[in-house]
Amino acid sequence: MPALVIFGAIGVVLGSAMVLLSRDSRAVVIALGIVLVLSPVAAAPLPSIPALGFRVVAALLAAYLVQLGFRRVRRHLVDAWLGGATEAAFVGLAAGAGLLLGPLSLEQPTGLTLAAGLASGTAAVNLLLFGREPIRTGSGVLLAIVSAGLLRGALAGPADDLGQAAVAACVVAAATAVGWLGLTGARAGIELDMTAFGRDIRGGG
Amino acid sequence: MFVAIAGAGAFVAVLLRPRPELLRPAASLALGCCLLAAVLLPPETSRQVGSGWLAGTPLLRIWLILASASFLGLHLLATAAGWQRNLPAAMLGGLAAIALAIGVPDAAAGATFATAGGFLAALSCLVLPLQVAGARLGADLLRIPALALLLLVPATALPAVVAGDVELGISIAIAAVAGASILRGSIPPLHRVAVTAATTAPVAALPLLLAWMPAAFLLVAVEWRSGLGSTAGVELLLVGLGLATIVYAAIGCFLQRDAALLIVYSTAQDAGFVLFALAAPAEASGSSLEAARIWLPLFAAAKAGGWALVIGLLAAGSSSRMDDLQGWARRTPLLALALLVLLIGNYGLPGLLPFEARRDLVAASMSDGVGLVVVGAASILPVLAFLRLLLIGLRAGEPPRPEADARSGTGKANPEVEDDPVTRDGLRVERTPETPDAAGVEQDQPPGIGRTMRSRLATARAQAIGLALSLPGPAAVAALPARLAGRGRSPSGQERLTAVVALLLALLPFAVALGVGDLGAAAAGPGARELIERLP
Repeated sequence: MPALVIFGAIGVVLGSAMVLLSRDSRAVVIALGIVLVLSPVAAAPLPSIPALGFRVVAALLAAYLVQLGFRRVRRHLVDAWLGGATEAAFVGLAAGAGLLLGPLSLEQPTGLTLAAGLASGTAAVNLLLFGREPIRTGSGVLLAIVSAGLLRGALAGPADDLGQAAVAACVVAAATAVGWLGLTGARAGIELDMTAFGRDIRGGG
Repeated sequence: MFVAIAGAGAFVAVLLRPRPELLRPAASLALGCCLLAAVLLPPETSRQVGSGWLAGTPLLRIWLILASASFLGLHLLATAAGWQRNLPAAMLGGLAAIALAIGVPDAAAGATFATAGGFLAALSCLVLPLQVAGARLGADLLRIPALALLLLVPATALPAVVAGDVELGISIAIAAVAGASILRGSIPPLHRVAVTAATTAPVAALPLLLAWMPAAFLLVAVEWRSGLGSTAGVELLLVGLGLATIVYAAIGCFLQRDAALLIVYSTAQDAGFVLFALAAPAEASGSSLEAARIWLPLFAAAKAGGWALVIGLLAAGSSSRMDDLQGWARRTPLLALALLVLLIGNYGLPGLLPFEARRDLVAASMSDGVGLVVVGAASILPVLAFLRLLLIGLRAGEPPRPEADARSGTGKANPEVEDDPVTRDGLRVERTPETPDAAGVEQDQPPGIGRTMRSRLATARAQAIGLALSLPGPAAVAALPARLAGRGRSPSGQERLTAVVALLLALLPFAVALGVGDLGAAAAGPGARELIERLP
C-alpha cells in the first residue's frame, strides 16, 4: 500500500513539474494524463475499486478531450511567468515542504499526499494566474482540481465514493470546457496570447 | 432519479448536438422531465451511493423545481429568439450538478459538484465564431471556479487539523471560504468578468453562469460555515467587505445605462449579502443559515428572470442600451409587467420572504443600526434604477430597427463582435425593415459607399441630427426619420412569445416570495448533513 502511495505522489509531483517545463502541447497533455491518472492513488487509504476505476476512466477521458482540443496548437509554447525551470523548482520546493509538514510513516504516509497536493497546487496557481495560452490555463484548471482533492485528503482523509465521483465529474467537465476552448480558438485561427489574470478584461460598466 | 434524468438528458444533448432539429425538442422534453421529477421528489429521502450518501430535503426540492422551470423557460426563449447548441447540455448538466451539490452532506464534494456545473456553464458561453474577447472570457470563466475550488476544499478540512490555536485555524478557513465565495459570486472587484460575460456571451447562458451555479456554490459555503464556532477579526472584515460590496454595486447599478449591466451589478450586490452569512457569529448562525437558504434560490430565480427580461428587450427589436429603449413598455406591456413582478420577487416588500431574508442576513452579523440603514439605503438604489428603466419604457418613442440594434449590442460594444451581431448573444433577429421610407439609406453598409448623391445628403443630414441627439450608430441614426414620423410596428409573434416566457420566469421568484412552496419552512428544516446524521 505505501509503495503505491509513493509511486502516485512522485508521479503527481513530476507530472506537475513537467506541465510547467514542457514547450510542446503533446507533452503537456501527457504530463496532465499522468497527474490525473496517478492522483487517486497518491492518498492512503486507497479509494474503493469502483471509485478508483471511475477516477482512472475520467482521467483518461479528460486527457483525450484536452488532446482533441489542442492537437492543432503550434508546438512551441510560451512559459507562464518566470520560466519553466524556475517554476518547476517552486513545485519541487512545495513538495519538499509537504514532506516536512506531514507525518511520514508506513501507517500514515500523509506527508506524501500533502507533498503531491502542494506541488500540484503550486503549479496550478502559477498557470491560472500567469498562463498566457489556453492550454496552459486549462492545465492549471485540471491541476487545481487534483490539488484540491489531494490537500483535502491529506488534511481530513480521502473522500468517500461520492467525493471521488465529484472529482471525476469535475475533471471531465473541466476538460470538456478546456478542450472546447482550444477547438473553438483553433477554428477561429486566433493566436490566443492572453495576459495575466485581471489585466485583459474588457467590457463596459 | 432526478440526477439520473438530468445526467441522461445532458448525455443525449451532447450526442444530438450536430442535429439541432432533434436537439431542441429533446432538450425541451428532458427539461420538462426534470421539472416533473423535481415536483415528485419526496420531501425527505436518502440514498446510499457506494460509501457516500445523497439526501433529498424539502429545500433541495424547491431548488430543483425553481432551477428546472427557470432553465425550461430559458431554453424556450433561446429557441424562439436564437440558438446556442451547447446550452441544453450545459443546462441539464447544471441541474444534475445543483442536485448533487446540495444533496451531498460533505461540503468539499458539494463544492466540487458545483464547480463542475460552473465549467459546463462556461462551455455554453464559448460560441462560434470565437473572437479574441470571447476566448479570453472563456479562460477567465475557467480560472475563477478552479481558484475558488482550490481555496474552499482544503479550507473545509483545516479547522479540524490545526493544532494549538483553533480560532486561528477557523479564521483562516473562513477567510479562504470567503475568498472562494467572492470569486464565484462575482462580488466586486471580481465583477469585471461578469461584466465582460454580459457583453460577450450568449444572454441565455448567463443565468446558469452568473446566478444558478454560483448560488449553489455559495449555499455549500454557507452550510459549511454554520457548523463552525465564532471568531473575531475575520468576521469584522467580512462585514466591512459586505457593506462595501453592497454600496459599490448599488452605485454601479444606479449609474448604468445598459439593462444587461444593470442585471450584472444587481447580481453583484445580491451576492454580497452572502458575506454577511459567512460573518455571522455562532449564536446567530442558525438564523443566518435559514436566511441564506431562503435568499439564495430566490436570488438565482430572480436573476434568471432578469436575464429573460433582457432577452425580451433584445427580441423586441431594442438593444439593451437605455438610450434605445424608449417606449419598450408601451409596445410590450407584458415585459413591463414582468419587470414589476421581478422587482417584488427579487427585492420584496416588508413581510415578504426576499425582504425578510436580506434583513435577517444583515441583522445576524451586524447589530449596529447605522449599518442596517446604510444597507437599506443601498438596497433601494437598484430598485430605482429598474424603475428608471420602466419609466424610459413608458415614454413615447420607437426603438431602432432590428438590424441597427443587433449591431449596437449591449454596453460598450465589443469591436471584435460588432461585425457579427449574431455572435454577440446568439439571437438571430431575422426581420426586414418595416419602414421602407427611411431606407433611402442602405442600413447594412457604411454611409458614403456606393450611394447616390441624394442618399448621401440624407445620410449626412441624419448624421448631423444624430450627433446632436447623441444617438448611437449610423444605422440607428438613419432610422431617425421614421421614428420622428411616429411610425410604429406592432409586436411580432416572436416578441409576444418571449414576453410571455419572460413574464412566467419573473413569476417564479414572485410566487415563492408570496409563500408558494413554503420556502421558509423548507429553509428551517434539516439540510443534507443533518438528515444523514439522523439516519440509524
